[in-house]
Amino acid sequence: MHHGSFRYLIKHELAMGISRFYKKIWIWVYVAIILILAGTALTIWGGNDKFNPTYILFSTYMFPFLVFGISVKTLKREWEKGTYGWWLTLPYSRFRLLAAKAVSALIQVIAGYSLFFITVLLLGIYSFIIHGEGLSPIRELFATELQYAGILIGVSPFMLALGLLATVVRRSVMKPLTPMIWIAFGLFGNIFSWVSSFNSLSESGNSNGLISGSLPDWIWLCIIPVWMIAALLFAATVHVCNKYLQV
Amino acid sequence: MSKVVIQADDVFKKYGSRNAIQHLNVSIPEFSVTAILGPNGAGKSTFMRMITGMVKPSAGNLTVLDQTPAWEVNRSIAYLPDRARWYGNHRVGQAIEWATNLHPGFNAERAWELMKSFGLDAATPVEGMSRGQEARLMLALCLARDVPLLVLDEPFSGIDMISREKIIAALIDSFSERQQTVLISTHEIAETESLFDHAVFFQEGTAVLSGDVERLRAERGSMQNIYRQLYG
Amino acid sequence: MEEVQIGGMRFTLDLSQPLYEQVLDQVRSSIAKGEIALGSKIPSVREMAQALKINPNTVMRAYQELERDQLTETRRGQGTYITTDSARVEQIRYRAAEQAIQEFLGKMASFGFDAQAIEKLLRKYGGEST
Repeated sequence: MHHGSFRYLIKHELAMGISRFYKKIWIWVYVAIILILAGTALTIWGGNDKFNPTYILFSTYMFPFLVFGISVKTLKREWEKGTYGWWLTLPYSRFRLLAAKAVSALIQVIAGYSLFFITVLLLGIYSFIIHGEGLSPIRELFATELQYAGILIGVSPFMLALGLLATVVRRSVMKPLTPMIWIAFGLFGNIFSWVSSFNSLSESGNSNGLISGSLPDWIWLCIIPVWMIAALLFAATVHVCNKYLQV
Repeated sequence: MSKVVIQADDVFKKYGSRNAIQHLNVSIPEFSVTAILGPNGAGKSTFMRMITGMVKPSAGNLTVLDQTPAWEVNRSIAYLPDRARWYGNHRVGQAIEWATNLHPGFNAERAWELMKSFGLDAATPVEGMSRGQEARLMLALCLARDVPLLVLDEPFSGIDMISREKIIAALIDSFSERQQTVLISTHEIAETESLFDHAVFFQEGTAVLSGDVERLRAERGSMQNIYRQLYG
Repeated sequence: MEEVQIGGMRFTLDLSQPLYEQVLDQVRSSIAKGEIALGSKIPSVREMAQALKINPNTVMRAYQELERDQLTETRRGQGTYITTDSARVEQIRYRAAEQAIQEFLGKMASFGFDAQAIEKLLRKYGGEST
């Protein structure tokens, strides 16, 4: 066993994922534009529940799909860049190799979420301060963010594992199973729709964003089974990679 | 009777209805420098991929270093994949770091010597490299490993003449310095046939001719000639 | 393959014949011609392999045969040297000459020249070496 190899594999994956990201200037341009627009919108229309910073949280709807994308990319990259020969012949089990990719994708996802939620919180604080609304809206925003984050934490491992499975299945003799994966992608990717529909079932009245107030507690219990399914999907990915991969 | 490092007994590999490898019977002697020759699609790359566990035989028996090919055996095999590229975000220094961390038996000092002789220094980014430079980089990473088996799949493919000559010189050095079983598949027979002491000619997934190169020369002429006789 | 000069010797290798024999023959021939002096050092296996662009094992085989023939000797840590035994080199010279004569006679016979005709020609061109 080569000590430190797993850690290095993760480091290598992170470097691959991040370096490409940093180099794309247009991403930074978009981010800057969005921040400026959001800041301006809040300044002009913020305050008194008109343009509540929680509306920005709507964008988390896309996040499960982005997680799937990051996960797919981390594996697909080996084929696109012509390095799959090096990767597959490394003296480590496919489990280890795939686990390193999964961990690196997870780290990127968590970093991304943290960045997003902190930014929204800061924008919120900015808005509440200039409109003189005091501390309670900030606490409310934070509580709402925690709920959104909770949903994302629940579904992200699943989407991550699904992404890896989809990529491996596509390059294996199991290719015909792909439609099933797309169905799972659609169902779980739209997690926020399901959650908000449960919300309007349990609580009538206004909805402030996708989720308002608190969600029924049983939703949080679903996280464990979803994580377990994610683990099963990962195991399936390793199995396909070991036995059915077509290179 | 010298030891056999790779033994294939009636090996098959099917892709759908097509046999990429069929009735393959090959014995690669220990410490030989073996040429794997044949036209495109003859099964040379598939054979090398089977040796490194990337592809599993559909039938038959294949042993490498007395073991069934698997990731564990790859600790003892330095493999240059066919049409391989290197990680674009690396510099030469990071490529060596990658190999140091992930390849057992990697000798970083030797790698630096090879990089130097190949005209590559630590800060050179992979992104702007020519095909020839990238090929030299990848070969250096393979040659710097202290392993019993070296497998190079088309290391000369699409490379400029100067890079080819440097690679050949590095290979000769490597053969002089250490005992290693080497497998090289190539189309550049004219330039490289003098490097080999053993040869296997592939056609339609099977070995149609194999043996000691000097004996083949006495019996049938140069490897180039034999190639023409077999495939012309 | 094109001619290669190394260590005072000249080599032209034909890939359609076993290389080991050619390396052996051409080293012997260089010794016989005096292209390398008695007792002088010849290139290492690696240097020879690099110059000729052939597998070092082939060179090794030839060197081992030369050593068996007592034309060369390997001194530990110093390299390989031509023998200082001039009688041995003379033997090689003679053997090379005999081989050349046999080839010559064979060729002349194929053109239809008998011993008398050959003698006549030899007197005409009288042992002038270029």
